[in-house]
Amino acid sequence: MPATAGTLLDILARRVRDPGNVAHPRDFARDVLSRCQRALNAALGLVTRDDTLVLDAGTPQIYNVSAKLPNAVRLLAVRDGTRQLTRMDWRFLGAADSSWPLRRGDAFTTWSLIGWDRLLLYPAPRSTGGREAVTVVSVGLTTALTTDAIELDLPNHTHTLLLDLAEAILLLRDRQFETFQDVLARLTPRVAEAVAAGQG
Amino acid sequence: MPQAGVLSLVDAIGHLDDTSTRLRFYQDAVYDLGRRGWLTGDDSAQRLTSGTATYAPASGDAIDVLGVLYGDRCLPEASVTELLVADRDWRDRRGDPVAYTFEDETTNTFRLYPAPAFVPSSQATDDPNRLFVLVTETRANVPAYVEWPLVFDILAREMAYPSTHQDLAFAALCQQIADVFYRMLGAPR
Repeated sequence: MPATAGTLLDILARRVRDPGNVAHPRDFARDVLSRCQRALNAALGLVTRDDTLVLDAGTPQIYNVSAKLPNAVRLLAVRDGTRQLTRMDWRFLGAADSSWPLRRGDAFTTWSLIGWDRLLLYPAPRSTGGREAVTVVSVGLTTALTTDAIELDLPNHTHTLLLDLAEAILLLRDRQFETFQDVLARLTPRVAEAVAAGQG
Repeated sequence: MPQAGVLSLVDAIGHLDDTSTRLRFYQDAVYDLGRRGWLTGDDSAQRLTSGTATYAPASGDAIDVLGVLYGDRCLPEASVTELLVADRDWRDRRGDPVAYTFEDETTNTFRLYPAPAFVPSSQATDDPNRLFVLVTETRANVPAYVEWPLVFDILAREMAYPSTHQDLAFAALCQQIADVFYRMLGAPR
């Protein structure tokens, strides 16, 4: 059964020796936990989402990810109907097609990320008739923990790491430097493992 | 996430008694995110002028130029030395641009080689003569997933800065946890 925010907050409060939520008000601690869940999912990539990206008509086909897909953290795949597009480094696109910026075709074949925030689809569709959107699969933002009753999106086996992250932040806020360093020393190698597992 | 949201987290964790400098550190930290390629943008298409070789990203938020798209190609960057070797009179050439070189790195002004020798007739989306500049940028509204690394990055700078609340130990630990959060996001690809 998925744990609720309230269950983890109780554990967190005991860990930082603040069971009454005096030093760290419960709403603040919940907000910290919520943002830590979001950060941890960015590393692990366990909660994903499918979004519909409505196509523009112009060339080149470059889309602002933050504006068009505000709940996407890291793009994983792009599908045109049921067909999965190939990912390519945009700087190498010129080797495959020197006229790529204005190229139009019958179907998308490739997608690229320019930095984190621009999605490039190639080639631009010859006409938008019949195909007006693609599906973007991404690591998504997790649900904000606005009340104690909300269940966490991340599975139970990740909760120890999640609590370590939140504990580190509350300890730092409380200027408990020695305890913070112990938690950080415990945390850092496990984060490295998580990143390796989640991002390949 | 808007700037105000990030700064309120900075306040909540840092307990700052003087908040006069944190905006500057926010801007510095976001600028560094852009410089490292985390925040990218595309400058709106520019109309070229016949005989004018130098251009710059139109947006004041641009930091670095990642690429220059002209017509149907992505122009390669060339150094002045390379252009001189290829063509002694490269600055005076007119024609269809095939490369660009930086004139001034601080303003991101670049020069097309050769200088365009015609005026595009329209700004239609498929106009083959428009200039499209891919840039890294700074901004006041960062994606929500960079909030934690940004908060601790700002705190590390704030606490290391000489002030009434300077705390070098706290600054060092903030930098450590900021690095952990940056690592969790992975590198821009």
